Amino acid sequence: MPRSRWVILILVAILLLLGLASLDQGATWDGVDTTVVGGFAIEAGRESWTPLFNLQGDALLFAFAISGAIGGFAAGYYWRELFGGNGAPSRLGREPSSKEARRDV
Amino acid sequence: MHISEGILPLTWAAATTAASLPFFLKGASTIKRKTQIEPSVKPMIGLMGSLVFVVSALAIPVPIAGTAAHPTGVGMAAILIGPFPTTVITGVVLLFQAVFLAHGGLTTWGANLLNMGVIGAFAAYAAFVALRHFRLPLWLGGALAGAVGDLATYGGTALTMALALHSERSVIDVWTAIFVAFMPTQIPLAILEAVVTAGMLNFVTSRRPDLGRRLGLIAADSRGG
Repeated sequence: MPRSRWVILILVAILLLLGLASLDQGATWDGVDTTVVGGFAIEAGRESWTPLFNLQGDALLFAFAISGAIGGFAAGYYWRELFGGNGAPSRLGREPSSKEARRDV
Repeated sequence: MHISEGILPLTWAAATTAASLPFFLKGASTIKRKTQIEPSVKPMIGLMGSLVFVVSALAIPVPIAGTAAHPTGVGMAAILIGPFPTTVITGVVLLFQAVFLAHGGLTTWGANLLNMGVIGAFAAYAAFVALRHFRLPLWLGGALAGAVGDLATYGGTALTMALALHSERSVIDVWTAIFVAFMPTQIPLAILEAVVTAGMLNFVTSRRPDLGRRLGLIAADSRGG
């Protein structure tokens, strides 16, 4: 399947997931770290402490967004180094895949 | 699966850190040795570290459960770079998340590392090796190992919580209660990890068969997908 179709398929899956999530108006969408781990800890008489850098609201959103962007950039950089880009070879020498070898014959 | 700051009593925080540290140190020496021998190890570790960082901070809403949870990525990492280096990258990832994202905690760093970077990574790797031993196809072995890594991480978290905070209840009862509570959210995510891990292994062995061979994913005489 061409790469563009994969991208469209993943975007449709994300939209479908968010659409389904928005249907359930009663759900808070708290993570299991809060609902299960935190819930059981409170039951057992333990409460979480205030984090070292206690980011709240949009500041926390910003931290997650920026760290996701940095992580994504780093992943892309190493991906390109290992596997190369569109039509470009990897920076590390590699032998052709079976598909490429068949094409070259 | 991140246990928040301060939830565990300090004795348990120290015990779990002491239990995970030998794996971390062994992993650091493994990385040092492997990077001197094989040039593609360093970018692969960088790639896996970035992916584990991103996916383990990515809360995915699960509509049937009404909650959100994150995959771990440790199954895929353990297969591609080995379980000990996976412990190291998970330790670094958890430290960054605890300090900058208020995700996890410094006092619970050892417990989270033990659950995700040791139990999750080693369970996934053991599952992969065992399944490949029975000659299951690479994609199927990888998929099952990816799911095992995810579920083992959450099983380990439930066990840590049960051991540290069971008070008068039995550890088994508490472990079962927590683990079962994870399942509605975690089973769909384990399936997602299975699909992503299988896809990644397939991609690596078809795009870089030489790398697939050096990582031991495919036989030495094979050209790959």
